[in-house]
Amino acid sequence: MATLARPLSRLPPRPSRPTPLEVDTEDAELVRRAREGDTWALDMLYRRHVQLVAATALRLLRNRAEAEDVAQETFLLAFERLAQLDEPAAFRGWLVRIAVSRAHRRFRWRKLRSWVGLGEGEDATLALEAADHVTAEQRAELRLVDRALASLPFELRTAWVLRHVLGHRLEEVAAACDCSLATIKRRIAAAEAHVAAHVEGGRDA
Amino acid sequence: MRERPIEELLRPALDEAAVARLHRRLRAARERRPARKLVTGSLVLATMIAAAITVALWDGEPPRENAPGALASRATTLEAGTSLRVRALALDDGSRIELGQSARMEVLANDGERFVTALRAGRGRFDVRPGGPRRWSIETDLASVEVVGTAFTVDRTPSGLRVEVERGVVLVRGERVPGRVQRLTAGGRLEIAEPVATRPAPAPIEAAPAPMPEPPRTQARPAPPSLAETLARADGERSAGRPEVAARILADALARRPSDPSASLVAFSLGRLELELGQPDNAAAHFGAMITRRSPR
Repeated sequence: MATLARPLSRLPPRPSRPTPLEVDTEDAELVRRAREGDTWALDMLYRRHVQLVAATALRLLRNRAEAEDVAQETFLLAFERLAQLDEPAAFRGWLVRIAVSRAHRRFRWRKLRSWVGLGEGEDATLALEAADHVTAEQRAELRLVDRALASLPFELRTAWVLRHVLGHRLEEVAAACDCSLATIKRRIAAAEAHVAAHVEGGRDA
Repeated sequence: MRERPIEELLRPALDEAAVARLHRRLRAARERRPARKLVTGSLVLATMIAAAITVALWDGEPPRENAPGALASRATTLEAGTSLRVRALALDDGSRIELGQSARMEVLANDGERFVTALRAGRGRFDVRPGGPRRWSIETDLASVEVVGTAFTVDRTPSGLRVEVERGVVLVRGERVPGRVQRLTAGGRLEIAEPVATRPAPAPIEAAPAPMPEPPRTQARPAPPSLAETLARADGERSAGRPEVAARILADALARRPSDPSASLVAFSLGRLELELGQPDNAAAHFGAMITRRSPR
């Protein structure tokens, strides 16, 4: 990915750690206990994954209130359908898939509302959400990325955000978007080209 | 090597207050989630159809005219200089203002880029639509509150000022605000007490591009000016892009009144100005002076 590669490449290498959606045996145990009616296990599952779910919704929708609603809906649905989860150890990935699906639904609803003049604004773009340690150069680049993402179809935006913002592996992105690896590679490539063109154009301007 | 995700450059999606709030919402939703989803769905659909028909047939009075790009309301004009007499105000961008019984509020500026009001007294609740193009600012004699999209309450009582944030982020600025500026997030609250010592009546709030409806104040100011007034003057110079003038004003005042109760605050402000001016040694000296006096109020 060309965009943001320069500022990010200046950061030290990331220590090896599990990728966000890898299977988790502790999750499997918590899911098993939750299915038996243990509410403490549900609370633990919430605490362990709420940041991931909220980040997924927030980075996709870029609206804080909507992201919180999506996070709530995601956990509500997941806890209701816990019995349908085939692989309890894959709870994280399943949760992200629900979050993406709910965010997509919310995005469609937002478009509908904007057509009748009730559109929601975006108050949590990448540039607005930048941490305090982010340099001015990185912040400027995030603004360019924001602009590029705003004009991307939701499917492409989702693939790019899951891959480059949230750092999921290609297989994980494909699972979260419920499509094949080949499809997700195509989407990411298309999104990358779009973002790169915008960012490069913005730098030159 | 795998690239680091952009997420590592961003603030966490939820702070601890939001995590707890969401958890409460989730628990409440799970407890009241009815089995009759079909009935609820039908009701929602019927309501939406009714709302759509109402909107389609609506032929109400258009919002009152204001300056181009300015906020408007059906209830009252919002031109600069207007005193708001209504208790609840729905604005055409979806934002809402609710005023307490004894609240007195005026519109200072209203255009496509900013909406500035002065809360003279009483309680005002502001629900600002997120993502709007305007910078909202609520001025009081003790502090200014700046927001982008959020819901919050400003309460100006005789004993002080209280700002409470329900959603989003607000910035509270003022010489009585700890550190001159505080960032409040959802659930955050800041109280600023009215100074106990006798002091001149608060100066009329600046930042009003339009003429204020109140007659000009005629009280004679004590001479020489208090450190509080000096701080305000220096702040004005700094805001106008003249930090070196601001620093000179503060340094003079500090030399004149080294034992004033506000001297530590002046020293602190001076230290920050010196840092801005690229004089870390001077800044350190002023911060040191502040510590030997006491921490700023």
